[in-house]
Amino acid sequence: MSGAAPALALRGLRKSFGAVVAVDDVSLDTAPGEFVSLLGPSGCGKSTLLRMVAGLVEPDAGRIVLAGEDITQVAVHRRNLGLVFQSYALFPHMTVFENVAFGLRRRGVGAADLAPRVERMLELVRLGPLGARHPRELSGGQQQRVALARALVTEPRVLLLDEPLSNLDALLRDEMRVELKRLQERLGTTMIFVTHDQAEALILSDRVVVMEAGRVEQVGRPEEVYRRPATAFVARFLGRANFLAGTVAGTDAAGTVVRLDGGGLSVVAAARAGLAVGAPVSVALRQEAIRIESAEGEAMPVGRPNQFAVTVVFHAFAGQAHHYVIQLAGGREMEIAAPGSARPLPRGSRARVEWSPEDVILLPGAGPGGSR
Amino acid sequence: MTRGGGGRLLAPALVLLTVAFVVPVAMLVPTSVRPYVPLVGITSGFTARHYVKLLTDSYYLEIIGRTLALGLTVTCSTLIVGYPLAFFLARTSSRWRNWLTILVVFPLLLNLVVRTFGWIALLAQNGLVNQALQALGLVESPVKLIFNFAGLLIGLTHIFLPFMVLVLIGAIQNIPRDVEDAARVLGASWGSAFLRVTLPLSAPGILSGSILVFVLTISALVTPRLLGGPTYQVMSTLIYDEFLSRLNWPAGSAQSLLLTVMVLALVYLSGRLARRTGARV
Repeated sequence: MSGAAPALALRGLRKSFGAVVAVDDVSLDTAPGEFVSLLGPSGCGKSTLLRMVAGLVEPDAGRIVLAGEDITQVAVHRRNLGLVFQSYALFPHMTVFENVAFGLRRRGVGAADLAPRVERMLELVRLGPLGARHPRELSGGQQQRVALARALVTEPRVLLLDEPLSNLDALLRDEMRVELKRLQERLGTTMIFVTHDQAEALILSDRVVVMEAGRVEQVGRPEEVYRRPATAFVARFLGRANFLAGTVAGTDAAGTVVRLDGGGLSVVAAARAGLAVGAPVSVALRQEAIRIESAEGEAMPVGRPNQFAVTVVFHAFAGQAHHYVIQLAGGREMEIAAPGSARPLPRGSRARVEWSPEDVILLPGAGPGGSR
Repeated sequence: MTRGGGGRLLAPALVLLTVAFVVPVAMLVPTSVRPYVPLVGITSGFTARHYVKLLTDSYYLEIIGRTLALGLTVTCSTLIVGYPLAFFLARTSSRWRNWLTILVVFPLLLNLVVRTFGWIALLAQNGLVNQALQALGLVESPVKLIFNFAGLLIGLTHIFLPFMVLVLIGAIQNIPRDVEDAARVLGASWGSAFLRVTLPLSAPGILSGSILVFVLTISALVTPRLLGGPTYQVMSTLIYDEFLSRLNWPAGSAQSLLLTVMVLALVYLSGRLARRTGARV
């Protein structure tokens, strides 16, 4: 990040529609060749932010700087950006070739240069022989590849992608993810990718920007936002987690001890500075961070921190994982995702759970109660 | 759906079409080949002279030509006036939008004769338009705006504009905004994106609106009669006079059949055109 000038820098961008603030003071730097995801639920302002960068939405305040040049006031068609839409937005009255050639023609690329460039790009997205077809004769995946080729052929300074995979079925989506990532690595294009799919964001991105209600909640590498979420929203939105409210009781050899509200249970978290004794905290535990075995099992040596006796109240098998709902002493329930290869524990059976202090996410403040 | 089910659904429309259109038109055919003797009436026998006269006599050819020219110019003027209006109404998010749409449709709710008399008051020799032109010093003497081509063009354009606008609004609303945005992000200015993307994609609407207005224009009767007067004839007023003033039913039948054939040929050709362009859209 440091060193090279950012490929794209957003400074204090703001946009409201009537009384609704869609984007509220967003600043962000993107390094050249970086793949950045804007991740958030629908209506969080991520698409509006992308459309402001493209020039399709005028910001109320703030600046957009592209490779050192302030483009906030530059017209859409002079920004030299690429944009891929969720709806593909291909030109239905033109062939695949003409769709891809559209941007080059607008830039006055000569006939001698045009055809080879279009064909090379069609090869790159594996659509070589389909140039003469019309978009409606192609499958959804092929149409999205045409849209990618059309946006990339002009060698845009930054490629913007607005939920490009959301209209594809699950299998095709996985395939296109890999293809998109490879394409990005091969061409080295800076990409800003808008999605509401957390798995997609984690798999594809160099960095993830988690947004909520027009604001940036956290920016970080995928492992960072997943393992060390800065806010309860991020913890909740990325992956499934159990939330437990409590107060900091003190620090011992194992780490920070949190006494849970409404019961005598304590949880040990890896030591974390900046939390005073008595401060309210929210404890978040990923479903897959919790290990479970039957009460007679011997895989978990007794005496480690965060071991509890529980009752299985629900079990379902989902292929890769066993989903459990377990009940702690005092009636508190938690959800667990155990490896699918393990032997299932029947509903109603006694079991033991444990988790490592390193896997405990401590969020300052009371946070959202209950489990999820 | 099974074929039988489709047939049952189509049946009412097919019955209506047969009784109200196919049978009357078919009945014109035998009448159109009967000789007509003035003061005597329709006589028995066979003659093609009504058709020959219609297609060779310069008086009739002029009327046919005038009718087609009128259809073409009214279509073009409704398109030129109507497209920007339809584009605005299809794209505006203004809260006035519904009121503006009602304003477009409003003339249709008024009686046709009333509207046409309104135009007579405006366009007459000493009507409002001529008074205004003279007061502004734009013309020396009154301009002839009525009982000629200009009068019919103005009156019919006004009457058929709502049809064109309503068809175009639908067509323009069907064009995804993303597609236009895509063109602009790819480097097309607003004008270029409009010409290369929006306009071609609204072609189906332009085609159906144009056919509708053209067919309505060449078969319009009341407006051409009132704004054209008794002497400035188009095909529909000619047919009317032939049947009801001159009582020459055979000639009127031949003229009616020609008009019907012209309309059907147009609808057929445009259908083929729509399929050819539709294959790309």
